Amino acid sequence: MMDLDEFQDFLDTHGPDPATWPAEDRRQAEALLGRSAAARAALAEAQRLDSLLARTLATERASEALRARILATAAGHARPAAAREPWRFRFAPPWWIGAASATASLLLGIYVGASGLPPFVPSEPPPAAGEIVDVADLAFGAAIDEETFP
Amino acid sequence: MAIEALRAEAWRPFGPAAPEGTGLWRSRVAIRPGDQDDELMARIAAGETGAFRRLMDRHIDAAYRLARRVIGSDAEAEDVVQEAFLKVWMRARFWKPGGARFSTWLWRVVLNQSLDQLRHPKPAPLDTAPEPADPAADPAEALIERQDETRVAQAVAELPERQRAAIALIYGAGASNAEAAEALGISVGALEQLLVRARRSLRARLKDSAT
Repeated sequence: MMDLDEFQDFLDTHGPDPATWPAEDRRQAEALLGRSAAARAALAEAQRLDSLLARTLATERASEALRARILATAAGHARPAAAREPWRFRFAPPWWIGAASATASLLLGIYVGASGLPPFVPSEPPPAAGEIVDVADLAFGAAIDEETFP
Repeated sequence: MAIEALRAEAWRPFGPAAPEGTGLWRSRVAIRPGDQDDELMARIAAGETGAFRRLMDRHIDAAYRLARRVIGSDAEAEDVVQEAFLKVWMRARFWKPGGARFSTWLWRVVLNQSLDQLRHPKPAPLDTAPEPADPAADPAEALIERQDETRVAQAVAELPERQRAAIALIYGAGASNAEAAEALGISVGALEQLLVRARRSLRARLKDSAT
């Protein structure tokens, strides 16, 4: 059975609105209210405090100036960029580039074959295995000497 | 909970940025059915300033009351609320719908910044002091009501900051016990203990001031 002290704790925990009281304790609280004038006075005092708190704390409104300032500040702030695909995908060529390249290669091959152009023949035979070859010769040809590129 | 811990928790509802302008974001996320705030955040992420204004209108009063009660200063409360909504605007694209409720997240951000402000107060500008009320302009009954409200506001202001935050969440922001507990980063039981101590203290202070 709930006594007056327990009822006061109950009011302080759950507030004075019976609609918000947990069902398991509400029956005992209501029974105490039915037989105790002190409990009813405690409930009335808690309701008055609740009402005063609500009236004092729940009626303030943000000013119009604050609202306008927030909107203006937000408008002046650039937002961070969205997550994007990696750059290699953003710069990927369109699908038809591959097909166009293959077609161009095919047409060039047909043209070269049909026009009778001689096949490429190297002017010098390749060096035999073990022969020392100047790297500069490979890059620029055998005619280049040290005076040209000291 | 320490401010640092609250701050660490504050951005949990945010995830990786969503691509802009593709419409993929809305199709990939689980927006809570009927959750207007999640829908507004999705529209803000797409750059709709009208949605931002609407979301602000829905929540700014509660956020302001919360900051005002915890800090105790109009000007500083306004700074905190402005900063919180700027975060909403800047980070809307990172919001994870279906997670924490927007209101609870906003209250937590406002609380963090308000408690931070209390620890590192800025000098208050002289021109922001509230205008004194003119008692002669009020009828007698309104005057008594105003005196009651002044006493209550004073009693709330004298509470320890966590009790004050709990009371401001419940009465100022309209949070349920569960929502207030989440905003404070504590269990519902711990929040109820804060409320018990706060209500006892308020009752005693109001009795003292009435005698």
